[in-house]
Amino acid sequence: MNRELVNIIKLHESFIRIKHKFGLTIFLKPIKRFSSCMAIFATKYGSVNRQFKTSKDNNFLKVPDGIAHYLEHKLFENENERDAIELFANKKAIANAQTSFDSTAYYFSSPAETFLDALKILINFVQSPFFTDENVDRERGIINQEIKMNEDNPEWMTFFKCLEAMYKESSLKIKISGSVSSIANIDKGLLYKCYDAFYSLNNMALILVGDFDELEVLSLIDSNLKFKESVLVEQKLEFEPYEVNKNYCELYMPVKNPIFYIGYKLSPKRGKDLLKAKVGLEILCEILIGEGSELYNEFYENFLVPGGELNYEILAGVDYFALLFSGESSNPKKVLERISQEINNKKENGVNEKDLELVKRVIFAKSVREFSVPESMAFALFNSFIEDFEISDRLDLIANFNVADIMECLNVIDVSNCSLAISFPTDNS
Amino acid sequence: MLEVKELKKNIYYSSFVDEKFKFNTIVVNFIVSLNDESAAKNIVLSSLMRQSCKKYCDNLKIGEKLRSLYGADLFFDAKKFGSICVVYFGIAVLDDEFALNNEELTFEALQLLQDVIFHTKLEIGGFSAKELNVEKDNILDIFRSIYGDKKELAIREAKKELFNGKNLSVDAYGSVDAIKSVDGECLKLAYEDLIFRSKVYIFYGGRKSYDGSVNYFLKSFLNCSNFERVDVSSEKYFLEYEKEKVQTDDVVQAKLVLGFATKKQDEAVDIFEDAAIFVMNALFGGAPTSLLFTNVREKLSLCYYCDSVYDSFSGVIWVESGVEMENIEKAKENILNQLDILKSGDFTEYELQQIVFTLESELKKVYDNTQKIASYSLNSFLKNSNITPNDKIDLIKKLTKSDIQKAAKKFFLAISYVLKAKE
Repeated sequence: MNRELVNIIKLHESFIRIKHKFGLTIFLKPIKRFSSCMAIFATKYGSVNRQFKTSKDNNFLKVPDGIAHYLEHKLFENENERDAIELFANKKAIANAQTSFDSTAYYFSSPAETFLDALKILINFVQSPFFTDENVDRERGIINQEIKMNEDNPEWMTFFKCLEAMYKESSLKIKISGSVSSIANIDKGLLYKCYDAFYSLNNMALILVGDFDELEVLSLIDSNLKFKESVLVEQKLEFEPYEVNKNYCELYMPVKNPIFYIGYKLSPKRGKDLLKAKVGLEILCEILIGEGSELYNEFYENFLVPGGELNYEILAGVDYFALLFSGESSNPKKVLERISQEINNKKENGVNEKDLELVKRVIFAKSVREFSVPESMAFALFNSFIEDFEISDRLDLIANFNVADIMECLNVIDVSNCSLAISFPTDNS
Repeated sequence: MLEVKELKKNIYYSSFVDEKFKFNTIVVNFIVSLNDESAAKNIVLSSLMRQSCKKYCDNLKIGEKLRSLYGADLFFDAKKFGSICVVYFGIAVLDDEFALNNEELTFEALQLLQDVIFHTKLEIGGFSAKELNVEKDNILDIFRSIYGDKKELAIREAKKELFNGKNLSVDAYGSVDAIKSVDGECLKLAYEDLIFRSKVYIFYGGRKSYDGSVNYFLKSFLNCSNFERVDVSSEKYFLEYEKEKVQTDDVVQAKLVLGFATKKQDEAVDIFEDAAIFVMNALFGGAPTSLLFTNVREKLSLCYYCDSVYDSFSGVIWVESGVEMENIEKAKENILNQLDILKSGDFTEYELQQIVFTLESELKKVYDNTQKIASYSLNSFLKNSNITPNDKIDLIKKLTKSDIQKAAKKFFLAISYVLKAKE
């Protein structure tokens, strides 16, 4: 086992990172004084992993959309047909799971006194898939309900409409839970195939935060981890052109105000370049639309965006990199026009150094917030594993970001390469 | 957990300090009666106060100040607790220890909040017509947004229907018409009523006590006026019949809401009974191993979500679910069956134990987060209760199956509401 103590000096924090002999990455963050502990068992497997082959396969396998999410649901049931949620409840733990584009995470929080017992359940149920024709079939009804619930959600529908407009081929445009028709094709064989490929310990991390003893948890992990041969997975990616698929698309939903997503399609980046670009975009978005910016005030006062507040998110993966803005507006096209103008304005005239310094503090405080309670600490470590970066590198980047770096970041954005998706109210809304 | 001090008549204060926290939060709660007109005035007024004040004359200036405070969160809102409304202002700021240049962030944040509450633009001629209209539009827009959230829309419509004609039916923001009718003239009086005449509960939670800065802030409440602050009490009400309502909308999945009330709403509930209802609701549909989740969602696959929430201020248990159109009746029947299971005591000690474990875990977490402590302490304050989360854990551990059964028997179906697709 390879153990290192990682210091995050700017946050006055540290954690332990271990590479287990079976390949699993373990993050340990012992903390005192909090009532709850948190554990996450995660794999780098999500909805975008749709075509792959392992070293044992000759051909690529294209799996039905939504299978990563289906697998997440099914893992909760064990061979005695008992739901893991119930086992956790017996140990005073509250458990849940989530599937995203590029990850699946199983997690629980519990009081310190039952943490080890609940951890044992987590490690075991994630490593013990039990799929039968019957139990796989039974889950379909629940997932269909979830898919339909999402279809009633205007934000969700507009978000994916925007991704469809941006991407021609990338799996990013596929809904995480798939569709009623795609999940109809999921069976136990396919679930096992995906599980064997992506739930290999070298593709996974276990993150523990709370009041525990390091040696005790390591001993428990050692005695519960099951050795599995490392699996090398090769993924097939479709060629994704630089240009967006469509600049504009619309849909009609039962909303009173139009809801929109603006997506600027960027060229994918990797490693340190990606981390720097993401930090830069985060700072840039705060400068552009954060409270205290001219644009926020303009949107607010002119009632172009109710409350003035727009949301932004940055999506990054092997074949995608995108900056999205979203919100409600009576005139989303005007919002797009003003954001693009402001980006071009900053490209031409530069960024105010005082604004940059203030916004860097805002971003820094957000990082401190991520390390303020066990749950968010665990997810901060989880993100660093999934996105493959060091938290201290990110904080150093923020501290040292200068006007020239922001200009470099601005030049990554081509305002003409963007899509706008709007959900308009249906006639009778 | 918290010792609540009465600083002056109807001005109360409590605090919780622990070095595990990295942010400091102060919340000032103004406690008033809920009625349509004053709710609308208060939310428009507080929204205006959040956006600008005498010192920071517009949203841009406030925004710049917040940026200089490392993105401190200056918040306000109005929430209803039965027929009582709480309008609150607060600020959450990074503790000074983490400031990169030794800034006194906490002191400055408290000063900003003080400026927002006590030095409004009303001192210098009032808010402009444009500012007033922007805020009114923003609030009206929140109502429009709710329309897009069918889950939220369904529960609001069900509550409106159940409490029709009572103050309990009034939204914490008032109605659309009441907001539209708020004008600049009425704001000064609304300000005096809210800030100087209402009961106040102030909470501070954070890493260090900052006694000097916090006391300076509290003094501004003690010396601000000679008006008498007025206490408020909850409205008593009776619900004796089952209401039914079906509405249609553009939904893919129907939303079924059931409201369960007790027949003796005017009788005070003692702490043991309250704890029994709290656990009974969790076993019914308020926890991951609840009967609604296990049976209606998992075993019968009738809905993606089906859970229950106990509103202890109105005494109603609300069940919310998303179901296929053709399954509405079947879902309703099965939800009612789960309550019957509780009434007949046809559940196991094991099931009850699991729920108690879950609640114990949730209650312990209250101590981990200043926002949760603020919320818990406000709830306790409004109920005039000094039960700490740990006391509550002790109480729920003592409950037996028969206590839960007894609690369930008090509830009857008061309303059944369905939001379904147009034919």
